[in-house]
Amino acid sequence: MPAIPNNSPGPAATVRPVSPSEPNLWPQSAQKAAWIALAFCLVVLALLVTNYVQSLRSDPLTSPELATLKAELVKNPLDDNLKKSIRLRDLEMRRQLTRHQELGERGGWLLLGGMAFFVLAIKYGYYKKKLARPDKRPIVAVNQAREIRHAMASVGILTALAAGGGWVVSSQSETKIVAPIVVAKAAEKSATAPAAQPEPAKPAAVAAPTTPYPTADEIAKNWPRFRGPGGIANAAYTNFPFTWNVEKGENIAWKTPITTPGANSAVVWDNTVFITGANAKKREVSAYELTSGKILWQKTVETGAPAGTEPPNVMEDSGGFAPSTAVTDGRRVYAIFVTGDLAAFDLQGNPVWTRYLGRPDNSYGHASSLDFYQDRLIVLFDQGDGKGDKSKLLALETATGKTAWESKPRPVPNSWATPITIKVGKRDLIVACGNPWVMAYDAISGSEVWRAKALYGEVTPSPIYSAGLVLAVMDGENLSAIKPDGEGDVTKTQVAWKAEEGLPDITSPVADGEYVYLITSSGALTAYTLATGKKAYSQELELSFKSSPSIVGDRLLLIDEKGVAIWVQTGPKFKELGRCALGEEILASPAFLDGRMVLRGKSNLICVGKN
Amino acid sequence: MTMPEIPQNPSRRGFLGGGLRGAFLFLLGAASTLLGRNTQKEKTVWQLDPYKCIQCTRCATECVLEVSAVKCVQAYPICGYCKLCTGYFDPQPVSLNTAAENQLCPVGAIKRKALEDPYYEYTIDEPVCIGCAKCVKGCVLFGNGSFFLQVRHDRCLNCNDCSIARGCPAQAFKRVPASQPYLLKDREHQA
Amino acid sequence: MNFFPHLVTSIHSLSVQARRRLILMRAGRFLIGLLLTLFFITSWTTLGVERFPPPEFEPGYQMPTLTTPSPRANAMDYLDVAVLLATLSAASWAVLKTRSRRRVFGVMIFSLLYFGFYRKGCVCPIGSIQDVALSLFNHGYAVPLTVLIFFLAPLLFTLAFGRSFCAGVCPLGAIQDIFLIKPVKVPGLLSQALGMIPYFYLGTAVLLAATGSAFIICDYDPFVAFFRRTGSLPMLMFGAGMLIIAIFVGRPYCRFLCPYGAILRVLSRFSKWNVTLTPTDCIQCRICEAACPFGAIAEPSAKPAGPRGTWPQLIGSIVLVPVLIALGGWLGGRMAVPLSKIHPAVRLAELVAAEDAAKTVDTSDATRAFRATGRPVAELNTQALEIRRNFVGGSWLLGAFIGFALGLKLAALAWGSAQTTFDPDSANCLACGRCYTYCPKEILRVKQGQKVACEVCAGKT
Repeated sequence: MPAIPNNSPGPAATVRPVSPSEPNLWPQSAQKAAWIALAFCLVVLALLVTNYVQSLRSDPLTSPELATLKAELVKNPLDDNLKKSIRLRDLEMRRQLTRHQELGERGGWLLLGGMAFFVLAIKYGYYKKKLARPDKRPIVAVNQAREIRHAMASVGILTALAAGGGWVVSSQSETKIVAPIVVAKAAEKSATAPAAQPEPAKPAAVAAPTTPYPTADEIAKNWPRFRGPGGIANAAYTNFPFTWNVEKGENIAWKTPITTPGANSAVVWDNTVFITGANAKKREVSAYELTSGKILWQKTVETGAPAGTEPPNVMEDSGGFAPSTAVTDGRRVYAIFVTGDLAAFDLQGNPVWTRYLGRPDNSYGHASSLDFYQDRLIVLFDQGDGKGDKSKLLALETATGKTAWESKPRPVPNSWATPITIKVGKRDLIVACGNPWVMAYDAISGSEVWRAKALYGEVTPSPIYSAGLVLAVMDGENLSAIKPDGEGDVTKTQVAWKAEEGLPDITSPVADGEYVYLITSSGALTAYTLATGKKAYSQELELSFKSSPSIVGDRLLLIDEKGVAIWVQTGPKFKELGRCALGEEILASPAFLDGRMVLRGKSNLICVGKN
Repeated sequence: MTMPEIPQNPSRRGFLGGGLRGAFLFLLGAASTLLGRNTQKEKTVWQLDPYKCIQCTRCATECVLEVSAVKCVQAYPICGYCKLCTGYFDPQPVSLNTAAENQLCPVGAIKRKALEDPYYEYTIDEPVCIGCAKCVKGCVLFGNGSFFLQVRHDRCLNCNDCSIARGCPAQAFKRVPASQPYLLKDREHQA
Repeated sequence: MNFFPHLVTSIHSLSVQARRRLILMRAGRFLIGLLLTLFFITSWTTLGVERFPPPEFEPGYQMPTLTTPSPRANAMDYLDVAVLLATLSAASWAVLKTRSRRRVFGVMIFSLLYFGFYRKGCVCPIGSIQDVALSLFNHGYAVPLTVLIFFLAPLLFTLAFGRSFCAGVCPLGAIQDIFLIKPVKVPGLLSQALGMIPYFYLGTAVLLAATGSAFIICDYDPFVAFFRRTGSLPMLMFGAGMLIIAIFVGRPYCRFLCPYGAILRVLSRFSKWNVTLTPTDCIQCRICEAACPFGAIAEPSAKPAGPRGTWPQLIGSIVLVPVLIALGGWLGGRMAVPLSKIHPAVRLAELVAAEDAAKTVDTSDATRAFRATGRPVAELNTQALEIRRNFVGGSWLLGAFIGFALGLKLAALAWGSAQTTFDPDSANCLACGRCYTYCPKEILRVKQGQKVACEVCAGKT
């Protein structure tokens, strides 16, 4: 913008060192230009504000006008005038939008330019160098004490204001966030009171759940899988009797005969207990009422194997034809059998889907139990001798049985351990054991996250997760504690410690957050400090075990093959608290519910609880 | 003429100042070593996870830019090339043509092109798109979900605190490495 | 469910092709109806499903590809670092070696154009405080090296050369400096109190960044909207207000808000070199005092040395320090829960809890989005409670820090010895170099072509 010419010499000229022959007119012009620039800026600003307000009114995203017109058109689809007006309005609106955008862009630049010009002009126009005007005030004149008093007072007032503000903010009401039920915490040192706080009274008829999978709260209250929530065999409830008498029926809520054999354990959701059973000809899923022990339903699963398929290798004492524990997410119950047949039933016993995974190439019969993660059913399907890419981890959609993802072929031969799902940071991992690898997979995608060489032979004990460590064990190798936040091959980097005494070959370990306990089939109980791997004690019990140990409050529960339950105090020293007979052979692991313990014996399903 | 100089007065205050300066230097050194362990060579940029997006339309309004840096993109391999595209047409279109009354997009940023019968190709006219996710909602709810939102890095200013991220109710925005600046949908993930 | 009743026509009146098309369309309609029904029954999540298998095209069709424009190259960030170091050096050189206001101004304009209008205010040392705080307390966030340099370089330069960053590099300072037209002196007592606000701001910003809640320094940057020439209405109004104040009050943001300035103010007290006038020749004309728009040149004390306060003030201020720390800590601890609401996860958990308490759902997009993920409430609550726990410690520290800063200020007021010369107070001096152009002795020195008596150039320590 050119400076505005001005003929009259202004006062500014006098303060500028210019030659007297030609008076400098620039400063005065600049002054006028500055005010013009300011006016220009204000006009642009006003235009911009108008533009903004207009753009709010004709925002195509929120336009109620167009919405009404369209709604009317739905009623009168043949009204051509209506169509025409919609098209017109639409076009107009889009034009306006572009115009507003362009105007805003240009206006921004114009305003910026105007402001820059204003500042420059006004500085130039009114620039007046202060000449040296020595101030002869004596320096002592000011009352410094008063000045400091004032400054301190002002800081004091600020302090008071800050404190007042803080008080007002801190007095706001608080929205209570309820601490969730944490299963691991349920093992707190209270023997009688329920550690978790479930709903006081369960409604008799539970409404069908609407969500595709249960929340952590729901899972924590139930016993959805082999060894309960997380597969760690930590009871959330401790409010059932620790002594009983099967003969007299003392503290035995009920006892119901089992019709079809199987070594699998009971799983429970709300008021229903599920077990499976099978022989060479028939596969069955049974549901019992938790309160009464009454059979609710029994359904057979037809095999999907083509006729003439060779029957699977089965070893009777490793679980017969139904060694795998079923799993339930409260929406359905899922069962797998040695034949490779998978079936899903809803909680009322209606079949939902079945799937045949192919005859498992397994030297003793497929025995790994199921797990689920969100709406995925997790199947560990290890088979063969480790060659030919036969082993894999599968995730199926729980609603349909369709494959959601399938892991890359696992470099392991057939195995019998059950995978677990763990939470590491924000990620959920599925940990599966095989020979020789403990491998973790991303639960959402099924891609491998890490692997550690830690196992050997015919891997049967399932891994557990406690105090931030994955514990994997197999007789003949080691008990390894693996930190789960690694990536890739973590054999050398993430194994916190190893121990080699008292390693089980069938039962899985159990941990209470401080110690991990191992029980071998021949009855050696060994405890290690979880943090360091230092042995706390080892004790010969001179019994034989197939059932895996559990933690109930501050007690360790071991159940021998002959059906003797042994209660042991958890902690650094071995202390037996008592024994109680169940009166029949026990291979399965117990399930713990509110006031109840459910256990599958060889011939009966037994429920311990006040009667 | 001699140079005027500041009196060299190694006073207590000066000495103290030197000591404290040393202390501050040490502190800065310590802080940078501590931080140095948690640095990355590569910068990060903002991106939104299309699988978390709930199509709330805030991407169109929360961005500091007049026209959002978030735009709709089309993953062609996922697209069903539907004749009745629920991302393109209003839920109740009068007829399946490109007239304004049938279109879902408030700014008409989707181009519809007929291919071999009965397929149609849908393309986003990016300069026009305002990132409101109306088409995304239609496509995700009833179609294959091939329309989705992405931060377009030719537009994004990469603010230190992304104001859309702050307003996103689904917390779908996150910082991603600049070498992999997009979180695209693919067919494997879809299935 | 028929969505297109107006399309129902007699199928027999059409040609074979049209009939086929109509059947196809009806099938499509049916499918959509089915899907709609399914959707309303099962409240479908937002995950896409391949409902219509993508067609197999004949070879002639070229499928377009999705373009992915790259972000600004990483190397360009190192260019920013280079420009930062160059402008810092240039500003320090201009202030201390050439003692030229004009040169400082030149560097400042360049920085305003580069960091302000070209980089649009984003990568800046002020905001980097938060990245650094977050990465210190949250190992999930690794701070980019360039951001770390942006945080550290001005601090190191300040320890050596005083606040040359404020003078010539910071675009926020520059835009205010340019707008300073008619400076008004802020009364001493007001400026002392307002000068404490940056410490409050700094402490709060660090707490909120470290807990991963918010980056308030960036969110409430008043001028960044001007650099981008677009922004939300409240922020534009805040910025405009600040600029109008800046016409009369020298750099209000730098002096009374800037959290980075709070750090620099502490560091520059101990900087090796500073802006100095020519003390031995001072004729006590008081022109520099009037010329400094930032109140950094104060009248020297009559008393040559020793604390300024009276005995009750001296003792009182010492006693007050622990009291203020304790009070601040106590108040801070009380504020933990309300402050934690700023974190999105806590806010979400509270919304969900409120919905659960009222037995409603979907009262907001956030809770609807949360419930659609199927993520357990327990997990969210665990996270929220964890964040609240962090806030308890953090806001206790924040309160104690503010109490400490206030106590220290009071003690400094009482115990500090006043300047003995007309020289800029190193803490408040923004190194703009205006005083050089006013000091008659300095003007004389320049005219006579003397060398500068400053320590940098003399090579003395």
